[in-house]
Parts: sequence; structure tokens; C-alpha cells
Amino acid sequence: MAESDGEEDFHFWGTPVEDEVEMRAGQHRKEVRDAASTRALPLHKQEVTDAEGRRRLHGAFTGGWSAGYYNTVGSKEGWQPGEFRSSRGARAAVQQSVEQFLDEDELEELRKTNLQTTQEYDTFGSTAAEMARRAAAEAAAERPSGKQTVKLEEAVRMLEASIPGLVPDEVVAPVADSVGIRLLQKMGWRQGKGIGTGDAAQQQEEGGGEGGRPRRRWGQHAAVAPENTQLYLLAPKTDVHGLGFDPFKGAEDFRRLKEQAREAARPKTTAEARKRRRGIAFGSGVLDDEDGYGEGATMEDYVTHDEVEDYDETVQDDGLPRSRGPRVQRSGLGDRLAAKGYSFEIMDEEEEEPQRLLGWSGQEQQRQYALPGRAEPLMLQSREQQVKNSLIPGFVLATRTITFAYFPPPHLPPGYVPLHRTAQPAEAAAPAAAARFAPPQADPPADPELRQAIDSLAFFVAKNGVIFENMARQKQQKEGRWSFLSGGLGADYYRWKVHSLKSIIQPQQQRAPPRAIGQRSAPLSADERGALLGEQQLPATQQGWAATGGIGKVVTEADLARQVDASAQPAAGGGLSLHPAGGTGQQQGAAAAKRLPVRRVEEWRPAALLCKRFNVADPYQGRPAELQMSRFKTDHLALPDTAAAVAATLNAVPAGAQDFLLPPTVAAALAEAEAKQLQQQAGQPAAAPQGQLLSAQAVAMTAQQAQQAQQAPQDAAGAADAFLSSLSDMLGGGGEAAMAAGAAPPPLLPEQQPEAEAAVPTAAVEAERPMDLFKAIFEDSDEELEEEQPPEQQPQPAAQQSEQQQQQAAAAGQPPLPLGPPPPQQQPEEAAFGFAKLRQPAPPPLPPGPPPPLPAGQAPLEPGLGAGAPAAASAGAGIDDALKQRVQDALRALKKDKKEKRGSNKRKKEKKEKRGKEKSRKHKKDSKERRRKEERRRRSGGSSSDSRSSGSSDSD
Amino acid sequence: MPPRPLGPAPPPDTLLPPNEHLPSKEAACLRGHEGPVLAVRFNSQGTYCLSCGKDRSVRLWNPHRGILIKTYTGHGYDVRDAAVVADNSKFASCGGDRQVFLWDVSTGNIIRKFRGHDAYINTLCFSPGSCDVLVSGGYDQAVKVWDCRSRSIDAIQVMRNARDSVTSVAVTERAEILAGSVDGAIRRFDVRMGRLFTDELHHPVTCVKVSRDTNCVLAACMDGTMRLLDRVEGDLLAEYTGHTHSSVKMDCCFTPSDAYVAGSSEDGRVFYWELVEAQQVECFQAHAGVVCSMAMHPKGECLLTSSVDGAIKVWV
Repeated sequence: MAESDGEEDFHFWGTPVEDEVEMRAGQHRKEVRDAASTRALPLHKQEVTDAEGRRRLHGAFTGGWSAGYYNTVGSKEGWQPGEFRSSRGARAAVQQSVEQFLDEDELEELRKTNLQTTQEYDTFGSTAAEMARRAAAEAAAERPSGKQTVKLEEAVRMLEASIPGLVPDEVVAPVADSVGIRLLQKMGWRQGKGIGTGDAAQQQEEGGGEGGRPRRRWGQHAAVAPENTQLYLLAPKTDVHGLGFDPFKGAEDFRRLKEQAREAARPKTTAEARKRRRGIAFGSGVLDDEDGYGEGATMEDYVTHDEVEDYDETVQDDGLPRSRGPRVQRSGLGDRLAAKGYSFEIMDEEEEEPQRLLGWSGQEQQRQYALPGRAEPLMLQSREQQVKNSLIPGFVLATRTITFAYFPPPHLPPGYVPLHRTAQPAEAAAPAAAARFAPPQADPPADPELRQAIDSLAFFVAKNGVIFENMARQKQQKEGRWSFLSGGLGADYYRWKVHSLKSIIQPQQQRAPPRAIGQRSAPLSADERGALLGEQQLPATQQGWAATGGIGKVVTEADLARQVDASAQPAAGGGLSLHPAGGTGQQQGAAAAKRLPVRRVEEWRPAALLCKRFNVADPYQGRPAELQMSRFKTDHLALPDTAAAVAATLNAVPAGAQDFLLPPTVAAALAEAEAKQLQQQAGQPAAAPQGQLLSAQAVAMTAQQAQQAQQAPQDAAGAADAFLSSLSDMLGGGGEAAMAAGAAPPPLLPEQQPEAEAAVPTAAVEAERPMDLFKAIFEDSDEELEEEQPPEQQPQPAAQQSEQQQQQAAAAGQPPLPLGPPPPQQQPEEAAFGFAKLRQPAPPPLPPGPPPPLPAGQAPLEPGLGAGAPAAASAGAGIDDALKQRVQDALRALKKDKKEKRGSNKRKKEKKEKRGKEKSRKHKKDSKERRRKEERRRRSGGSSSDSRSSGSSDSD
Repeated sequence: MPPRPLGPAPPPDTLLPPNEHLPSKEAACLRGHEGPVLAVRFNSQGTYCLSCGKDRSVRLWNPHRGILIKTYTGHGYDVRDAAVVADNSKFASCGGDRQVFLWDVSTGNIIRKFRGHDAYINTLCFSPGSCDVLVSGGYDQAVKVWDCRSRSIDAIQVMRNARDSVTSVAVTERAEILAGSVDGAIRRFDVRMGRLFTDELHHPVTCVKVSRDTNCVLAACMDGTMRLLDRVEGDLLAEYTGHTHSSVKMDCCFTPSDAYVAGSSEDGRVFYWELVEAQQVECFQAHAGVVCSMAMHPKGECLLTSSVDGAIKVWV
């Protein structure tokens, strides 16, 4: 072990930890497959690997693991090399171009077109200038070389060197009017003019003093464009002199010489030439003669005068005339541009105005660059020549000197100590003062209302200040009750009250420092908020959380911050300080008594994965979450379903109702309706309730009563509707059936039949009246009847049966009575309306009963009543036709009324009704047909009677 | 994986007789941390210990020989708790950087980071046995359960029932997660029953420990009382007082035999109480400052205490 001294100190134990990373990397390697085995694989399974067996990645964006066509350069059709064609025979045809030697990227770059402004929209001519520059360069290149060219180029170069801000391109740039300028021109704009009518501005100036209507200088319709506003551009400082340096200071001769030289160099100052064209030219006028040394004073001024001369001469030699026009070198850019026809804002201006002088640029002409629509810039103008006299150019010596009066400081008294003592706060002094001015105590006014009003307002004012008194005064000025505010009744009391209340309230308020409205010293805690709102803590909460010092509450931001702050303090030497807000120790004492831990159990749903990790079955596997009890009591204190409950209680009724009992409300309503009817009619006592057979007096009622029935239904309808709506709500289908049963007259039992027959007419009337009412209310019961009817096959035999019975009866010698009682055969039919229906498991079919024997010529009975019609008809057989008709009309009207009502209430029911009606109609049709058939049969059989034939027509 | 026995069946050799030795003699002082040592934890065998410092480092010690083995740096904030996996291959640490770091013990590399807490994490704990599940609780009032087996980055489940900072979590072999919170409650999430049992102690809880037989829960409350609760019923079995505990997170622990309870005081003392009688049996001055954390050797051989002065002391 100890080979060397250095290693003696180390002892190695255990096995070294292997480098996992390397192993991992190795794991991904695949063995290099045999080429043969790879080839055997289908194309899409072949994998391209490198020498170390790693899959070849072609780059994330160029194919990933598989590039090309399954990692080949081929395609589905295989790989085809490009075709070679020899151009040996046709060399001339071969045209090589740069594109052929460029790759895609280069081509793309080459073909890339720059976005340029087309000439049309090139307002400022940059594109045009660029193009012109190119054209000029090309033209220069094409021109045969010569001295002139060289000189021109030299001149251009010199220009370039000497013209500040003016590039030679612009010298030669041809320009065209842009669209904007052309548009403006179309609209009447002239070059050198401003945009819009000049009147507005002028009027404002002129008409301001007059105050009246602005006067138009050029009349109502003529509009004259304003003068172009002028743009001021500071001349750039191109020399290296300091500010205000005058190179000719103390050498005025040189200045004069310079001036003279300039004068000499100046173009022929003809009057025509004086009319200078001035316009936009950035940095123009380098060679302008007015140029002082401020701008133009480059080295040429002092050193290379000769060169300048040369230059000028050279230019002249170039054949460029020295006069105006194309004398490029001698005029500003504006002139040059104008000469080229590019003149979007050229001002022709008489040079009559005195030369503007900028102090620091000497005699330099103030350049006015006008752009349409631009405000006139600030100008540094100085018309006096005194500029030259000033020490610093641009500054003028003051003509007036102001002397300020001097006041000596006040003399301090000898015993003055410079110590400021703050005066007592105003509020503190106030109570004393207030006490001094306390209004005398006054008796409250006698009127208690007024006193209360005064008290309340006084409290409010005392609490919130006098502003509210003023507000109240403004608001309530009109009301006499508030006269105490303005010295009326109770004013003394009010003043005293306010004062006394103030003395009580304000000391309390003063304790808290005054704050602006809506501003709080610190965010309120939940407790404070609760206290403000007058909430009281729940006893449980008080117990549970007081001791924790409010820690258990939802941690607000402020609490967090507080806690963080607390923990940041080295409270206990820097450990993990968990400082509970509020100080536990103090509140512990308050909590005092030992409080046992409280346990709460609630549902908690562990995640499925958690259960898996803990190797525990999911306790809530597949079960939905338990319903959380809502926080709001109204949610789980829902009213029980009243209708359902009532229906449930009424479900018990049909059993009792089999004893011909009605629900009390129904019975009472019925009774009421009947009683009214009766009283109206004959002053007879009210009928017995509960649908039992009426007494003999009632029975004695005849057609007269029925006559009255046409008015009666209105009363009856009122009463009926009253409970109808409630009933229809309360009762389900079964309830309705029960009602139907209750309202129906009791079925005549076979034993009673003789009696019934004895009281034939009365019974008939009796049967009719409740029937009418009933039908008026429950006209849908027929639909239910029909619904319960057996299928179509059954009626046939039954009908035949009844027919047979009738025939038998006829044969037995019982003559069909004109006002006769309903024949016994009809009993089932009538009974089917009532509870008998309930008793009969399979009630007899409705229509089969033959029409009751009616006297010939009787008017047909209401067809709309459906299946119940025969019964009604039979019952009302004794009443004369007109009466009957009226009764029925009234009933129909009532029905319609009710239908509408119901329709709005119970749409569902309406649906059902409709269905039932359709059914009944169909049924009626069927029965009609059937009856007709029977008629025919009978007629053909010769056994038909008058009554029958009338009955058949009846049903139509 | 065969199902683990859920019931507490401590191996017989781990149970010591009740008249066990209570470590109170200083054997070593482990120095190396700068600033407070916020947690000190034994590995499951008791051979090594980890210490978490406010100096953003986790240190691995051999407390028996008193030597520093390794320093794990990588935390950007103070480290508040650490837990070692049963096979000692990895350990997890947490703290101010709101992430749980899973370290490789030997290389010192960070294997994983569990992100999801919104504030600093106070505590963490591995599930006993296979250490598949890591439970962490933090200042964001949440207890988060992390999956160490899968590579998922999201927590298995987040329990946000606490109404204040969660200071201590514990996982029992009965598939329960206990969380003590500053809101004064111990919450027991019973995975098997799918229920949450909340025991209101009315005082902030800084440490929750479960006894060996998992029948009792010990809680160090900030009213200067340690409370022993019946795990099943939630009854208060005993209260241990005498120490001061009012503002700092401090630990408590059972002795391996569950016969005694150990706690610390803010004045630097360590207390032993008899579990049933709740009588103070021993008390010694361990540190000059607050005893931030303490850990009992799984077999009761020694006790580790750490303090704010950066010292970790080994008591035998």
C-alpha cells in the first residue's frame, strides 16, 4: 500500500462510487448492427447509426431521427441523378448568369428587393435623390474622361468637404412633384403659399379689436391663402472658434478686406439678382456671399483665398455661368432644386426687408425655411447694429440700471432668546373658550317631534361639524319644522344641545389623531372590522382563538408582514422565531383555565396516488363527494313542496270520497253557488251540501229554475273559478277524478231506481243541474272517461247489448216518456261520471248508449259537450228548447273562460286536454258513424222510431 | 412490493426497558455552522446526523466520533429541515428557497427539486419504510405530499386546511399524515379512512412527534407546555411544563422506549419528563441560547441538540 510517502496518509475503505453518468450514457448505445441484418429489415425499420452505434440525429428541424426518404437521398421512386447534356455543340446558346453560381441563400439575398417609396409618394425626394445619384454616377462613368470631368468631380468633392449638411447628391438630384404636392396644387395651393385660407388668421388679428363679425378682406367668397409660414433653422456652427470669438477683432482692416473680397466675389448685384429666390435649403448658402466668417469662415478665409479664387475660376472654366439658374455652386439648395423643377416650397421674396442679423453669426442672412402648415418658429432677431458693440454677441448692454432699496435688518431686543415655544394647540384651548361662550341652557320645545328633530340634528352636528348644519339648513329651508336652525322656535335649545353634545363627544374624538377622510392609520384587523360593524364573536370562536392571540385567523398580508418582522428580529437569539401576533403570554393568562383539546372530524379525500403510495385502498374509490352543506340556511331550509304534500294528503281522499264526500272547500263552494242560485230564484233555503240528493223543495224546481240557470252560471262560475284554480293546483289527475266523483250526483243504485223513476222529472232536473256545474268546471273529465275506456272492440257488443235492452224495454210496453226519467240503461253512463267509475273496473263504453228518447222536434243538444252530452240531454229533456239553448250557451261561455284561465296556468294539462279532445273527437266521429250505421240498419229493419231518428240527428 | 404491516410492531430489540438511560452528559460538540443550526436529524439507523443551518448549508456528521463528513451547499436561503431516506442514499432538505431539495448523499448533487410551496418550508418528512412519499409543510399554510418514485413535478396532494404556518409534519406507518400548525391545531390526515382529524390545542404547535407505538402524539406548544394526546380519540393525556417556549420553533421527542419525553427550553436547557406522570425527571443546561432543535438517537444512545450559536452538542 505504501508505495510513496504521499499516499501513506490515505486509507481507502469500501468500494468507490461509480460514476452514474457515464453508465447512463453507455446504456443508450446500441451495438453496431451487422449490415446484412439491417438490410433485411424493411425500410422503415432500418436505423442509421454512427460508428459507435448511436442513432444519427439529423437535427431537430431537418428531419430529426429520420431525414430524407428513410434516411436516404432517394425518393419513393428511387434516386435519379441529374441528366447531363453536353453544351459543346451549342456554346452560344449557353448563357451563364450569376444566379447559376449562387446558392439558395445568396439568391434569396440577391433577389430580395428593398422596400422603397415609389416616386409618386416620395414627398421628400429621398428615393428620387438616390436614383438620381445612381444615374449621375452612371452617366459620369460613361462620359469620356477629360479634364473637365476631373474638375467637376474635384469641385463636387470640394463641395462635399465644404458644404455643411449638404451632400453632393442633392446638388444633382432631380426631383419630381410628389402626389401630395400635386394634390395640393389641384386644390388651389400655390407654391410658396400656406395651406388653407389666410382669412381666418387675419381675421383673428384684425377682427379681435372690433368685436363684431370678422371682416373678410377679400369678400365673402374669395379666399386667399396665407403667406407661408417660415421655418427657422439655426445655422450650424462649422468653425472651431469659441463662442463670440471674432477673428478680426483688433484687425478691422482685415475685416474690411474680407468684406471687399466678398463683395468682389459676389455675383453681379443687379436688381434682378437682388430678387433672390429663397427657399428650403438645408445648410444652403455656403457660398452665399452674405456668409460671414461664422459659418463660412473655414480655413479658406485666412489661408486659401487663392484656392477659393481658383475654385471659382475652375467652376467658371467648367462652363457653368456665374449668374443665376444652373449656377449650382452659388445658390442654395432651394434654388438648385427650383432650377431642376423640384420646387415644392419656394418663396419668391423681394429682398426688401433689412437683413436679419444673428449676432453670433455676424451678418449672416437669417434663413427662412418654410414648410406648409408649420408655425413660425422662435427667431432670434436683432435689428440693431449694436450687436457689434456688445461684448458677447447675442447680448445687449442694458440701457437702464435698477437700483434696489436696501433695508437694514431689524434690531433684536436685548433680552431676546431665540427659542421658539409652540403655542397650545387650538383644540386644547378651544374647550375653555367654548365654555366661555357656552349658550345658556334652554328648555326644550313643547312639541316632542320638534324636540326629537332638534336632538338628532344636534347630535349629528356635534359629531360631524357645522358643515352638516349648513347642509341641513340648505336642504330643509322650505320646511317650517327646521326653523330652529335660523332662529325660529327651539333655536336656543338647539344651540345649547349642540354645545353640550359637543363637549361630550369631542374629547373622545380628539383622542384619535385627526385623519383625512377615508384614510386609516393601518389596515383593520378582522376583529376591528367586526367591532366597527357591531359584530360579536361567536362564543366558540372567542374561546377557541383568544388564547392563540388571533393566530388562527386567516393570515392577512399585514399579519404576515408583522410575523415576518417579528421573526426577523433576533428575538431569542436568531432561531426560528415564531412570534405569534398579539403576544401569547399575556393572553394566556386571560385564557387562564386549562382548555382541553377539541377534536373535529371531517371528510378528507386522499388522492388516488397517495393511497397507492401508502399501499392503502382508496376510501372514496368511485364514490362521489358528499354534498357539502351550504353556508346559507335558505339553501337547505327550502320549503317543502306544498303541492306535492297536498296531493299526498288528498290521495287519501278518494277512499273517503267513495262515500260521496267532497273536500270541504269544494263542497262549500258548491253549496255556496247553489245557495246563491236558489236564493236568487225563489228565496228558497240553501240546498244541502255535499252533493247529496236535494230535498223535495229543490226537487220541485222546474223549468223556471233552469231558466234562471242562464244567469246563475255567472255566480256559479265565480264561485267555481275560485276553487277551481286552487283545486287544479292541488289535485292531480286522481284528485280531479275524485272531484268529478264528488260533484256528480250519486249513482242511482238499482234498488233506488223505482224511487228515482217515481220522481222522474225532478230527478231529471236534479241530474242536470249539478251536471252542468260540474261540466262547466270539469269538462275535461270526459277526456278521462275516454282514456279509461276499453279498446274499440268492446263498445260494439255493449252497444248492442244496451240496444237490445232498450228494444226489450220498448217491447215490454214501457212507452218512452217525453219528460221521462233516464232509462235504466243509461244509468251506467251517468254513473261513469262519478265514483261509480272508480268502482267499475271496466266502465261501459260511453257512446254506445242510444240517444235518450226525446220528443220529436227537440232541438239538438250541445254537441260540444262531447260524451257527456247524451246524459245531459237526457237529463234536460224536460226543459224547453230555447231555455236549454240559453243554458248551454252560458255554459259554453263559462267553459271558454275557464279554458283560457287554465291554459295560462297549466300548459301541461292543456296538452293533455288537447290530446283527450282529439281522442274524444275521433271517438265521437266513430260513434257517430256507428250510430248512423245502426240507424240505417234499423231503418232498413223497419224498427226505427221517431225518437231514434231525432236522436241521430241530435248527435250532429 | 409486498404490503407493509401497518400496525406498529417495533422490533423487540428496539424497545428498551423503562429504566433507560437518559443522555445528559456532553460527549461532543460539533462546530462548523455559522449562525443558528435550525435542525438536526439522525438517519434512521442513528449512525449519522444531518444539520441544517441558517448559513444555507447542510452538514453531514458522524456524531459518535464528532467529525464533519460532508457539507452540502446549494441552498440559497436558510435550511430549516432535513430528512434522510431509509437507505441513506438520499436526503431531502428544505428551507427558505421554497423548494424541497433532494440530495445524493455521496456526491452531494441535487437530484431533484420539488417546487410548489409559496413560502418558506418549515418541515419535511419521509414516509416510513420505503420513503416513497415526502411530506412538506410551510409558511404557505399548506401541507404538500410529493412523490419520490415518479418523476412528476406536481405534488400528489396539497392539504390547505391549516390556517397558519405549518411547523411540523409527521408520517406514521398507519398511513397517516400529521401536521402541526401555528393555528393551534394538529391535523391528522388519515389516508385509510379518508378523514381529517383536527385537534385544537388552542396554542401554536411547533413540533409534532408520534410515539413508537403510534398511540400518542406529542406536541410542543408555544404556551410553554408540551401536550401528549391520544392519537385515536384526541384526548389530552398529559401536559409537560417547566420549560419556556413562547416564540421560537423548538423540537420535542420521545425516548425510544416511549417512557420519557424530551423537550427543550428557550433558555438553553433540556428537559426530560416521565411520560405518564408528566413529572420532570431531568433537566440540564445544554446551550447558552435557544435550543433550536433536538433529535433522539433511534436506540436512545445519544441526544443531539443544536443551538443558535452554531453548535451541535451530542449528549450521551
